[in-house]
Amino acid sequence: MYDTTIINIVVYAKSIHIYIEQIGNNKKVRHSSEKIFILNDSYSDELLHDYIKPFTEDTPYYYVVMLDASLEQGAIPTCDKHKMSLYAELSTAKYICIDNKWACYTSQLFLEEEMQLLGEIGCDLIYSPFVVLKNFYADKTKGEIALYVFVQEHSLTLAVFKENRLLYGEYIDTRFEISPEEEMQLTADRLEESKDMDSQDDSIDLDDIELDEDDLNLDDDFDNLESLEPIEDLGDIDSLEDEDNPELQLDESLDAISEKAEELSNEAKDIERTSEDFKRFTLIQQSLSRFYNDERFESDFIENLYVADAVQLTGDFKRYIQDEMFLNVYIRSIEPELEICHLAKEELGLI
Amino acid sequence: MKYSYITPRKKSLLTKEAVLILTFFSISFFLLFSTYAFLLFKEYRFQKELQSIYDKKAELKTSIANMKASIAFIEEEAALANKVYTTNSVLKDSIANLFDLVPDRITLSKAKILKNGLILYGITPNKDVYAYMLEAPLRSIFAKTHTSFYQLPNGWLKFVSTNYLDNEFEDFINED
Repeated sequence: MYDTTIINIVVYAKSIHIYIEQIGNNKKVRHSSEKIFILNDSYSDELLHDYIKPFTEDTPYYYVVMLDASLEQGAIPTCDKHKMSLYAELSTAKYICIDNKWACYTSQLFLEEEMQLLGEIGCDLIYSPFVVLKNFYADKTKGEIALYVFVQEHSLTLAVFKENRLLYGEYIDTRFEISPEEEMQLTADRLEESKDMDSQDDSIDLDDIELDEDDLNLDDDFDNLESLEPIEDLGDIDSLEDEDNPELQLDESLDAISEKAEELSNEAKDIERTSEDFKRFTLIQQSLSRFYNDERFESDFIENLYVADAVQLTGDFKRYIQDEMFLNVYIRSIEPELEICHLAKEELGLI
Repeated sequence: MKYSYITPRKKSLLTKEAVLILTFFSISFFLLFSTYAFLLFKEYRFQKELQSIYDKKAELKTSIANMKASIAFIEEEAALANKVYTTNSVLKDSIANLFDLVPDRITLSKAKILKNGLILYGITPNKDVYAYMLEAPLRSIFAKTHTSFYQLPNGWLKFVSTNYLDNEFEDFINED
């Protein structure tokens, strides 16, 4: 009689993505719509509620689904209550066991805060990014050991799966920037690790790999930026008055300025994206290092990295990983809203 | 497989507002029907009490009628008893007077007291004794007197004396 409406909400640092699917009695999608709310000064929760409310009023069978964005979340390679405390402090956390092999957890407090975002509309299902990652790469996680990374605008979800079993899981909020000292320490660690690996495996000549910052395109981009003329120098408006057709000259100059400004802006964005990708690469490297060094985790040599890309990573990211970590990188684009919608439909028996 | 941290809320066809309205109407209807049922019950009880009162009234009426009939019967009985007592007194006096009338020489064997007469059976030594000592008083009381004699083997006479009052005399007796 009534359609089932699934309202999928993914909260990012600067925006909220909403994807709504209306499913008929024959389990076919009758209608879908998307909306992105930018979290600027003009945003308020009322706007979000006003957008969702009509969908909730159409049918009593509506389900609000969210992707967990809590800072204090993670995944542990056991489902045994007695062993869980070895990996994480779960006294104030909520956890669920997956396949009776591993568990993902989140802070109960953050969970309640996330649910409060929707006020009266409430929330029906909250999924961990680890579950999304596992389902997104369900065809790969059954196989040999590999590192899986779910890259979102403000976070990285890292998991090592081997034969459908999680060996390691970490959630990193990338909004917390790495200080230069940490970066230096990281570089030193990397060098040390490289030496260790060199001593272990002679087939790879690590000395040939230059870790010098000059090797990174990031600096090239910065150089390009510096080579650009300052905006003030792009056009001397006063000099236009001396020409025969001052209005035409002015228009052309303005067009040139806007083109240059756009070019500059795009380049700045590219630089920013490259910088973010480098930061992600660094964090992945750190995380992998923790996995290898921590005796609590059953470690094995990882050759493949599968990336679920929700941010359109630059080519540099893949290059960093391949060059620095010697991993085979496979990247698949992911739309988290669609993934949690798929999970919700599976859980509600709508597939 | 459950992957969500939380369980979906139970979905119902009815919205919260509809549930509230239904609850309100349900309570209202319940109260209305309860009041109606209470009134029906009270009316039933009242009708039953009324019927009971009517029955009691009818019973009392019957009882009063029976009592009146009993009173009338008792009064009649009392009157009758009184009359019998009076009659008996009169009869007793009459019998006493009768036996006073009979002289010692005459023996009565049987006496029949009728409504308006007296029949005497007895034995007398002779007719003269009877005529002087018994017939004379009888003739003074009764209007008609007739006597029959039978000779006994021992020489005495068996007699049957039949005496009747005339109507006027009888009426006079009744008035008394």
